[in-house]
Amino acid sequence: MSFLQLDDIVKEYPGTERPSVADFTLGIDQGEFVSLLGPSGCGKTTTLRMIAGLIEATSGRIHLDGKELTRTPVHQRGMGLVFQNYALFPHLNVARNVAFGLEMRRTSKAEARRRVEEALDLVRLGHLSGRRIKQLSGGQQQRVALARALVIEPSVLLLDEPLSNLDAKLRDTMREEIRSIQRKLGITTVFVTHDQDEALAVSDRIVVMSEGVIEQVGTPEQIYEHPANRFVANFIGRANLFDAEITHTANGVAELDVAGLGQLRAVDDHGAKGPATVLVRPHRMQLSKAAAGDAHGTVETVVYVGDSIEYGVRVGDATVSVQSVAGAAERLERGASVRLSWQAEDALVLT
Amino acid sequence: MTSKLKGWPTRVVVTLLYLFLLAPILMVVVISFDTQSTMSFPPQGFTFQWYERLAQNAEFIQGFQVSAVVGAGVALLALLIGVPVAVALTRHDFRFREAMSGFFLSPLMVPAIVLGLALLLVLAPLKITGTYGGLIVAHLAITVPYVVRTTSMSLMTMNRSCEEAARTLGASPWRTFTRVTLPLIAPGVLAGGVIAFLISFDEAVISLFVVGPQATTLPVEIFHYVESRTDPQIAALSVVLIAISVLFMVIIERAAGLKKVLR
Repeated sequence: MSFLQLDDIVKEYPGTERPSVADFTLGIDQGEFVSLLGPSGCGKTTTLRMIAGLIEATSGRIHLDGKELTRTPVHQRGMGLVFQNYALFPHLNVARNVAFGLEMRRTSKAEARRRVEEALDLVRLGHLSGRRIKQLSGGQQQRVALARALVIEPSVLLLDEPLSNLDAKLRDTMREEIRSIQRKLGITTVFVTHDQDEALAVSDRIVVMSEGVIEQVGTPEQIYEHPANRFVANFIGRANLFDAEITHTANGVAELDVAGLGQLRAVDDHGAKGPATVLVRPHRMQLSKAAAGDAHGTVETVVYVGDSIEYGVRVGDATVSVQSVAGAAERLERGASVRLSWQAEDALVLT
Repeated sequence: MTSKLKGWPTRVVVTLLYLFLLAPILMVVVISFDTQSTMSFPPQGFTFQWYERLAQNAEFIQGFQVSAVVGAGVALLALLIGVPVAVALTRHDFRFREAMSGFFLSPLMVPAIVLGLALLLVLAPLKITGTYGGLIVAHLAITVPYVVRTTSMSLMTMNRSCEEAARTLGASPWRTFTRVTLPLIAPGVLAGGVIAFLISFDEAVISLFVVGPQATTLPVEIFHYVESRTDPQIAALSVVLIAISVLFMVIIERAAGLKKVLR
């Protein structure tokens, strides 16, 4: 059993068609940073709130460090939760906000003062301890919320889309900061986000969710390079998905007959024959000029984005995205007839 | 400049409208200083004699005391009943919640005279008409809805995740309420209390049914007084009451902002 173990967690609301979360089973190791990633409504926040105890699971069990806490009330779980809107107490100043959890634990005044100071130093806000919450910027409020959750030395740190209210630049800095604090304290962390870049950048493991169920669990590399299905492939990064027919498989490489593109090869871990879907990332596609009779399609859009050029290529009634490094190859114009292909190791057969 | 000029007609209209609304009150103020012994306009002179007589009028002073005590009791009890009801109605989901919500607002929809009669019929067999207790119970019927209203409004508009945050930080439900919820809804609660006091202090119709010789409120005393006398003493008393009302409104405004509370 893992440090934080969720078994067959189900959350159903009466009068809804499908459960918000269904058969959610996941083990999280001590010190691990796990992201719950998915579009809105996928059940990631519901799952987080069930871990925190703010929502009661319809069925299933939660264990922390070997002890069952499925029915433990919120205030006895000892978990730190950082809310999307920070949820700081507007009637208390920064130091009193951070001290709240310690007061509830009846920590002695002297120790509380020391720990509040430490926590505020950790998030680099020591100089603002006397400020009112209204006087803080969004980023500063975020840090106070983090300090308030960390000061109680929680067994698990839960982060509910903590960066989504910050502007883009601050988001990246805060993301790094949260990760480095997490490493420093070695605290087990569950991070909820809908932003795949965020999840890829900070996580030890990512749990991709959709419509209440887990689609895939894996390291960022596994999720990106070996998505388990079409949903994950589409949700993480950009993806071209081709319909193909597997004609032959040997040594983990499949010979394919790809609709509109002809004979190609792809990595195949399944070894099944017949119809399949092939995933190729836009930057792994190869594009070359061709004579009209020999072409697979025509260039429909050309977008120059600085370090690369993004082409939209019309093949039959589908559009294929191709990203090529600017300057490395001849730049193609709109309307150009082109051939598309890929290296076998850059393509993956999905189930 | 042009926008200021354009604003002139509006300003004139608004000023006239307010004068129209406030004129009777201004009349009362003017008359309270008049030397004539019946209330009439225009005034003939200036005197403080009505205020001096007012200060010696035992019935009014007695009535004022009764109203103040009843008002304070009503405000306190209305909060003790109304705040938990508001919490239940906004924070918990249970069967008949909508019905409960309707029930707690219903006294406002019944004409006061009907309510007064109904309360008399209920309170008389209990033998508490004409007592402080009877008056307080009667006034609670019409003040609790206001407290429920203002408190619910505050509860609905406050950031609920603050409560959740307190819970995750180790606060029991009760401590979450006292340490986080109550401070955050305090303006609405205070406003509800002040409104309850003012309504009780001002209430005449229902009180007429349930007052007695031991406990008669000021509005009822005033009512009886004007039945037989018409001297400006009553105008002087009105000015005192207006001053008290204004004072309370200023308190609400300072604490919460009137607009926020009466929305």
